[in-house]
Amino acid sequence: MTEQENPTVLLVDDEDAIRAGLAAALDRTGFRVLEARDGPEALRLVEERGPDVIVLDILMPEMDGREVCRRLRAAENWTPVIMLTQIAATGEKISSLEEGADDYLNKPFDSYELIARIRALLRRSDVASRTAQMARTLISGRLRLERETQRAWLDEEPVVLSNKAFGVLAHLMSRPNAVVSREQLLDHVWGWEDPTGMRTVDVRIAEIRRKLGDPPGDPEFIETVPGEGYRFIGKVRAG
Amino acid sequence: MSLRWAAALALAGGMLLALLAAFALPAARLQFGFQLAPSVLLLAAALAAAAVLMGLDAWSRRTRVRLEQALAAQAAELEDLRRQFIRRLDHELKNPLTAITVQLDNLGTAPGANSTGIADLRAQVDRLTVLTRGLRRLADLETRALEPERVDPEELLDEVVELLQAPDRVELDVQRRPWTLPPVQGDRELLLLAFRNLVENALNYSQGMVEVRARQAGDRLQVEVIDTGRGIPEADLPHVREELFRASNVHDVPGSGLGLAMADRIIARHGGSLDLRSRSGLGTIATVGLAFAPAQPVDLSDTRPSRPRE
Repeated sequence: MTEQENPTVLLVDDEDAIRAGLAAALDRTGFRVLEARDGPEALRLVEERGPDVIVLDILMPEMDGREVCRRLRAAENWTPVIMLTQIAATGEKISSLEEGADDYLNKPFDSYELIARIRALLRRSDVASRTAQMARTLISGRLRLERETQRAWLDEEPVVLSNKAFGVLAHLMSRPNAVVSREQLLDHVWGWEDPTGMRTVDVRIAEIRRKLGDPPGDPEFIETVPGEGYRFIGKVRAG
Repeated sequence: MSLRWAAALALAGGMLLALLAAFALPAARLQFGFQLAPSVLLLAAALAAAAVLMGLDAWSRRTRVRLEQALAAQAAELEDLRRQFIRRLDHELKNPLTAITVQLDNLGTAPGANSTGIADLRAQVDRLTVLTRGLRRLADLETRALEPERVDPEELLDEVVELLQAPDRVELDVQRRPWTLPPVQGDRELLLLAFRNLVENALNYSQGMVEVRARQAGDRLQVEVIDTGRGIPEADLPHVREELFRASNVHDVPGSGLGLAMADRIIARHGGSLDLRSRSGLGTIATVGLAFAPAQPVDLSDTRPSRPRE
């Protein structure tokens, strides 16, 4: 990482107006900014300049954002990536997550939102296990999750979870020890930015706890961090 | 008169005439190079007419079926096109909206910026943003797969009230005696959205208390959302469920014209009913009917179900 005070952000978007606008906002906030208008240019800049964070638009001609992310991760490059999506559908979110993006932002968004996300990602540089984020199978003790088929087992017995409960569990489990707020869960798992309500998240957490027999008072898997969110406390390995 | 009846009539008439001819002129013969009894000719003519008419009937039926199929296919195609249009519109609006939003943020920080002007612009862009999100969501919830589970009506309605943050304007009255309401089978989040939109409308278009009543009505859950607001003009009532439609008497209240459309689609996808009764100046009653969950439930609360996830 370069100087802590002036992290470098690589902005990748084929829309000049968006790139220029964001570059000005980031620059004003004290970031150093690199710009790329397409995938190949982005990959070249990552190689040459080693940015601290990459802001990556999904829909671009030539090579789309997902492909850029896939190539980076395949080359063991774990620079944090924020994907700019246009598609609010939940399926989109989950599939980009699997490509190894660390966060998303749905267009349209404002610069303050993006800056907040970038800062959060930079703070989170201790991300426990990058491989866990991309793993197809996540294992923690007697719990096993298979992401692609959305199936879960506890002590080798299948556990029936609703889609959203599975999404919440997979999201928490792929970020072991990180506190994830309900807002982040809503945003990542539900995808709708409309305030569906924090209770919606709690309902799914309650479902997971009930089905895994994980008491909130003495949890084996999910811990409530009062006023902040939830945290997966088990040790996680990729399967 | 249908062609089949015409055929039957032709056949019956021909046979009758043939019979008459046979009795009235038993010895008469028609000369065609060969001799023919008139009754036989009449009979043959009747048969031929009936056959032609039956043929016509079959053809017209087949044509009608084909037409109906074509119409249905066309309607489905139009519906697809409409959804596709909404998706594309939403998609095409997102980049410009992002660019405008970001540039407005930048303008706002410039020295000597006209901050009220920028705030006004920002508010308008936000409106467009909300609108595109709403349209997208509407298209999404028409097609996405439902995730049905057992939903407790009281708990759901409690959350609706909590979400709307207007506890002193909503009177929630959920049946508890002599028994509590059984659960309904549905997608919890979508149902939450539907009820939230209905109650939100009631709050937005009235000043007074909004009553939400939940009862068991036979084998269905009945939820009434009652307001004493301005009501929906009679002429608008058939249209209020259409997306982007706004009643003629609400243009002073901000709104997207999507809330009721969403509620309507969600309830329809659950096989439920949404009835709207309204009187101008008196208020509106929105009544939702939803089937209760089957009595012998699949127990989802098992900690270790023995069968795999469906």
